[in-house]
Amino acid sequence: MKLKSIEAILTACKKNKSWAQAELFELFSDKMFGTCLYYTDNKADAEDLLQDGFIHIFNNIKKYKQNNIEAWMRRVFINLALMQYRRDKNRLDIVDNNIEGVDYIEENNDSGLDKDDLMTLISKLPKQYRLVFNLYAIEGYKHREIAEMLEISEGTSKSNLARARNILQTKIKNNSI
Amino acid sequence: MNNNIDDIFKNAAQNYSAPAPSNSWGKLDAALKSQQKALFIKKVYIAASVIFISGLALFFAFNNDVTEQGAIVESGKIEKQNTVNIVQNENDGIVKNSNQITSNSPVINNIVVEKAVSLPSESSLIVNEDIKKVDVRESISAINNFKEKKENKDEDKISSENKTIAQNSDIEVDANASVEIAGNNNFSEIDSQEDIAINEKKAKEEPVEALANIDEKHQNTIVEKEKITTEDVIIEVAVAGAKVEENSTTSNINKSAKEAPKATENSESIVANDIADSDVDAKSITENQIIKKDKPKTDLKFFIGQTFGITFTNAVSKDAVNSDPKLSIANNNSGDIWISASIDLGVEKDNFIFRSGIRLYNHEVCGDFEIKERDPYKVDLENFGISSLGYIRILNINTNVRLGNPLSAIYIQDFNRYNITVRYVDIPLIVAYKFQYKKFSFIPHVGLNTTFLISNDVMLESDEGYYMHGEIKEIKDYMFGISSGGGAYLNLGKHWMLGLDADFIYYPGSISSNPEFNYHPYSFIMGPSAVFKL
Repeated sequence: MKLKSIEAILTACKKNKSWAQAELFELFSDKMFGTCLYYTDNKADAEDLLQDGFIHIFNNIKKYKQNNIEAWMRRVFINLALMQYRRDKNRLDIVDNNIEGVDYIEENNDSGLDKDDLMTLISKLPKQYRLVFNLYAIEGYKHREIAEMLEISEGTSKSNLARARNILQTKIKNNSI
Repeated sequence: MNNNIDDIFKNAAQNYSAPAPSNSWGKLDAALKSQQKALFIKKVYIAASVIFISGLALFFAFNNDVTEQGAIVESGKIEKQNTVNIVQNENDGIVKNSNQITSNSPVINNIVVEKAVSLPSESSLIVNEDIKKVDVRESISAINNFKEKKENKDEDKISSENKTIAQNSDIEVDANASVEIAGNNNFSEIDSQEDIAINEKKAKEEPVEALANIDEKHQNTIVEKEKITTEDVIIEVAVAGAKVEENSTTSNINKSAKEAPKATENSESIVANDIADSDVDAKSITENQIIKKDKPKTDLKFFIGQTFGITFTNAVSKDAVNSDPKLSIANNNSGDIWISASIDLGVEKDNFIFRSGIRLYNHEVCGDFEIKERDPYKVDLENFGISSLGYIRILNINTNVRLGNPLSAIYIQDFNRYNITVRYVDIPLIVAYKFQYKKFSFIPHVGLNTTFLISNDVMLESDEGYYMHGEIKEIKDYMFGISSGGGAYLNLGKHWMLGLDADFIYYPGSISSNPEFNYHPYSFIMGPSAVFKL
């Protein structure tokens, strides 16, 4: 099969061509699924996020006018994950303070430090810690921005980041023994 | 240390990927199609609503324009053969012989009234109970003028100009009727608009009295010899000036002496001259002797039609299975029957109908084949670019088969059935002509069609349920076609028409943009149709 350029695929996607959507999915589904994995607790949620994200992308791709489709798609997925978090937070009143990271780490039997393992460590952080850590350490947002996105205070954001780091450090240390 | 931790995870996240579940595209594709379907239905409803509202707006705008002309009364409709009784004023010496023409008394033969004139209550025109529709279209200001002039002039010398009867109303006349109306020349001597106003109810209830009043007041004479029966002829009559429309011949009723000369030897004018204008010979009018004057612009009719049809389509591709029947068998089920639906908005004028709308239908190609010896190299399929020699080379289909997956070349033994469905929305521009026979209408039509592709779907299946799902690449997004057909309808009351409608659409161009697959689709659609006339 002759491969089409990403520009041609995007142009066709803007015309709602199903084949183009299939090709765009083919090109980016793995990367986006990786992102979904470390923004969610489990694989099932990651799959749901993947589907919701691509539907959102196909419905809004006409708005895309940048040069980096991957970055744009990634941002879509992150925003969806944040929306999901805020929705759950309002509905369930999530309180992460009850979660003891050390206990959690003690239950973890990971023994490797490759990419998959590291991402797995992130995905197993408490939800709010995970989001703060991802947004700060991986995406590069400031605490002020994170506080706005997660509807928490800057202090809470900093505190969550510190706890997340502590958990991850401990985990890495345990894995390196 | 903190930064170190951050960097570790940041680097790990860079270009991190994990294989998405294999069925994730299937789920996503199904969700997208469901979403598109819902969106399409929404668009169709919006379009239909816009058409409907636009039609209503036009109708009411037009209707307002009509009513502003004043003196428009719509009373009812004749549902059966009508009888019109016109009272004679004996004092005026109107000739009663329907076959005879007197100098001052026009004799109108064979008039059937469907829409009677709505005249003031004391009108000289009497419509009996069989007349149910009255539609006066214009004010009868000429009558007032006439009244003034009448007061100022000698009755015997009323000028022909004053006798011109303003066109005010529509009357349907049956050309086959055997009725004769003799109206005296005082027809134009009606005092005022109020005097002429016809209350249909009153006319129904007290036709004789009403006539009597008129006779007493104006000493007008309208003689009715026999019945006037309805049907094919429409006469638009005003109190002072008349218009006659007939199916085959549309004529004016001239009540002006000036216009009388226009009534030629063939005597196609109806002359209803004033008595005073005695020099003008009134001529007898037979059913074929009605001529046309002006035509009001109010005879536009708007309608909305909806048709559910059974659609037959031709094959838009073909199977070319290996010639050895021992090895493989193919059955083409092209042209499956589908239900199509359409909604139209139209306008009718002088029996010509112009309409447009939206129609949804499908072209479908199904193929079942069996490979007896499971030898893929013995089967060759050609279908919209699905070309195979041993395996399906996905030349013209985009599928959900993942790149790099060995399934991108589907071995033909993996499936034995395919189904291609191409779905279109068709927008016709149709010109039709309505032939009326009693309560039946026959409406042949021709048209130009623009058809837009809204989806296409290819599915390859096996008995085990395996399928490959995709869509054709090289297919045109739109096509132009020509259509012809017709319908037979039964008129039910004032607004409804029910019948059968058939349409044949042919597309001269190929359905595929690939010159290798040159198939010209056509569709034959037939089904019940309902039309609502505004």
